[in-house]
Amino acid sequence: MNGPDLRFLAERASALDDRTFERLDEVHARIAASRERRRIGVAVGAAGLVAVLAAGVAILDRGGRENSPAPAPKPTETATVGAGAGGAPARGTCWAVPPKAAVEPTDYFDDSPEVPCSQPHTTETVATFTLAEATEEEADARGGTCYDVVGEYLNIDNESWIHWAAAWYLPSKEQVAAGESWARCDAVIPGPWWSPTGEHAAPARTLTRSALDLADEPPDDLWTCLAEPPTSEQPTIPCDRPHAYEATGTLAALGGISTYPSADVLRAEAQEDCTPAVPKRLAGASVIAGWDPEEGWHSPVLHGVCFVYRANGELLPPR
Amino acid sequence: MADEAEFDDFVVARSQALIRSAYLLVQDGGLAEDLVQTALTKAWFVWSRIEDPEAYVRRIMTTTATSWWRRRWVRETPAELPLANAPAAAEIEDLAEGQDVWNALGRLPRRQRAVVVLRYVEDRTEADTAHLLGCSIGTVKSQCSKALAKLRLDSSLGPVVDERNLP
Repeated sequence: MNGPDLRFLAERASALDDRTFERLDEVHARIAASRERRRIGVAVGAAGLVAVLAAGVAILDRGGRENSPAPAPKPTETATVGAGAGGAPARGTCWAVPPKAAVEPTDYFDDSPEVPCSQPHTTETVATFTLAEATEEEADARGGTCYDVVGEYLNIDNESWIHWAAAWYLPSKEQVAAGESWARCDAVIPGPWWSPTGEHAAPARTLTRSALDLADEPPDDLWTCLAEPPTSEQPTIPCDRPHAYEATGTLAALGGISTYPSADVLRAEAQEDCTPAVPKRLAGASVIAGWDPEEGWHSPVLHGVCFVYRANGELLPPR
Repeated sequence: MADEAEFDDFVVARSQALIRSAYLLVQDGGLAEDLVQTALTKAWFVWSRIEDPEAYVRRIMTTTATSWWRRRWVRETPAELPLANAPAAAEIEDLAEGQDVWNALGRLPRRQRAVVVLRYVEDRTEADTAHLLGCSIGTVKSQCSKALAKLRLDSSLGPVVDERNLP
């Protein structure tokens, strides 16, 4: 990238039409529409559960409840991502939550020890929420927002995907008895299990580094490889051995849809979105996406995790 | 209403500059317009509490653009929004070469793209970029480094990336 390149980019952006005053009107129309939505209480934070499916991770079914979209937090409440307030932990605090409990939490009141992030840990606090009351319902209502902020923390996007999840906890019972009322929202990396429905997860992985921007350059052992097509539930296998399906670390996305697409449409979309991500060492390999299943799909956008494989059935070489 | 007047003044004064950044970030005129309007709408509801409106709006733009689950980043075009016109190809000199850098920019992860746009296209300092993106200077440096490494390896830009003119 040099001077002419930068000039090209600047000139190209500068050549956009000036729509300032139309934009002002349109923004005010959006504000009015948003006010109306807030007035009638439309949920605006349920996207987190969509993210769960898109990520192909376990929906954290707290206490065995159904995985229905959580109600949105009140519009005036926001996640705190700086230092924790009122006894809440700060962003970037790591916890040695038991690995199974980190992906299948049954007790919201967590008293796991805080540890340095360089030491083995299973969860890392990304945000905290001040609650009117430290109850499971209040915490669940922040679940969607929790997924949003954890995704951002890991730097998950269409071009950088790893297997991830989020979990939310209340303070320990002793802290609650002492008057603390918050929920913490933690990043979790699920263990070696692929679940296209997001219903199951292996115990959480133990990390010895912060999860911040983890998706940018994930360690090899967090890469997802499979023996069977990503349409079926199965254990993942180490990528340093021959494997049949290997994640590209990217997502396919199909938007603007109101009904679940046909298999042909999904195949075509996977071909278009996943092919550019085929690594050079696997040139010529075929692509397939592990799409969000129809059941539980709520959003106008459908995501799939991209994988490569050999159409002739040969195994892929170690990554 | 003072707040509304200040908000409108801000939109009039700064939104075209924001659109330019957004366009480089998402590489689509319609999506850029949608991104900026989304960020401005969010900013409106916390306007009285914002100390630096531009930094706030840019942070929302960046985090929204890097959010993989947002419907706006798939290939739908918001029907209700008129598309901003991209410049005609013939109006740009050295189009093929420029198109290469455009494409290479598009292949960067969006957070790295945001850093490149602010640091190099808009010629902002590391501190300013960090402030606008709500991250540390160290993060700006590391994202820049990763972005430049990827651009260096991008075959469309040739084997050598000339960084002599980079700050």
